[in-house]
Amino acid sequence: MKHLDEEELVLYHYGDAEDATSVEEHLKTCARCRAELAELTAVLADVSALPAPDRGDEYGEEVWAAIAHKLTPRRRVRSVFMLAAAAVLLAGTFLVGRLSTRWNAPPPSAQIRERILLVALDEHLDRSQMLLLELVNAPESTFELSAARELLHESRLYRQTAFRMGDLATTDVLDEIERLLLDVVHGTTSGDVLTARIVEQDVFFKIRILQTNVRRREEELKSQQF
Amino acid sequence: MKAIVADEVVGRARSGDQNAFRTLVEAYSRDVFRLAFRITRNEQDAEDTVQETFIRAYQKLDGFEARANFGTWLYRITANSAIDQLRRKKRHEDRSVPLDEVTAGGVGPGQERAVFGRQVRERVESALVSLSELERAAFVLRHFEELSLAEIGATLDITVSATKQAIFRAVRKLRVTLAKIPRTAP
Repeated sequence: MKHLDEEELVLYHYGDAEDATSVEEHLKTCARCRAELAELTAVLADVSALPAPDRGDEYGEEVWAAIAHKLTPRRRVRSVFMLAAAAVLLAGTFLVGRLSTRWNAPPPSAQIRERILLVALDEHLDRSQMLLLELVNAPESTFELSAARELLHESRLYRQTAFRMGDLATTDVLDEIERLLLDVVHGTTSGDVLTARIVEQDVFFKIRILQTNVRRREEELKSQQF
Repeated sequence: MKAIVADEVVGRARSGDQNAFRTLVEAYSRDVFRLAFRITRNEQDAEDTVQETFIRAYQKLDGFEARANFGTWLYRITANSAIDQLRRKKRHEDRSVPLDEVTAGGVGPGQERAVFGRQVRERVESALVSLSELERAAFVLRHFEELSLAEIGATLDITVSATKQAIFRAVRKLRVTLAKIPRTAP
């Protein structure tokens, strides 16, 4: 008689067995497997009995008081598709080249479009920085893949647009971010190696410099519009 | 998550309404804490995880799809924040479990029975702490929160097969550690 193995018993215990009926049929006739299941159930019952502390009704208010000042007002969301559309729309008037002293004042509608993209790029840099910070703080983390994939897609769009406009400095920074994100998404490089690269290449410093330029340009456009 | 909040509140929070987000924090904090504690096994770590969870949730609200269940979405952030918390802590210090901080449930009459109950809890606590972060998170989500294997996989960003293996390893370790506990008080 072929007995049930531990994995089959665990799946059965949690209601995940693919063929529960045949497991039950076997259990009816096999004392050894019944004993195994009883022992497994007893162990898991001990785990269930472990108390978890409960917080009172006021706990939610305490949490809010602790985090409220850490929440910065959120900007309205843009989906990746909207960002892609914005990048295409702005392909002819893209911001990055305009960060240089070669800037000539664009017409108002172009200014508005440029500001929208500047805000989006600024936010993208924020989110990229945050994800890389998480990586540095916890190199083994592999649980932000979906966020990394989204950022990778966005970063590629911004880099391609910056490259088309001939802004190589911005292209380089976005290229570095993209390479890091690519490794995060593919999981081909260990967290420690990625962390070392981030530190050695001064990635956070470069992002901050780029953000400073982006925000300065955003302020310039803002003052021109009002 | 047991808390239920109207979709309309979630929608307002997504639009940037801080008062609506506050409503969500107040509704879900206790559930988030309980899950965070079950994964971190430490009250202070769980407190930190709760704060980090809501800050992350606030930052990621744009990525939350209106058709999804907000509580389930919050599960994912909580579980991953708790795992990150454990990993950060492991890098900086040896873990110790403050068993005295855990409030004991009813243990029945008699001193011997109380001592026995405490010993069992300590063994179980020790067994849980011996699990890896991933094993513990997968086990907690299946055993306590009763998520399906697919939901756990989606939460932890791993395959269903990897989810099963994590749970199998967790259960095996628990059985090895706890198998010798007598089932009745002396």
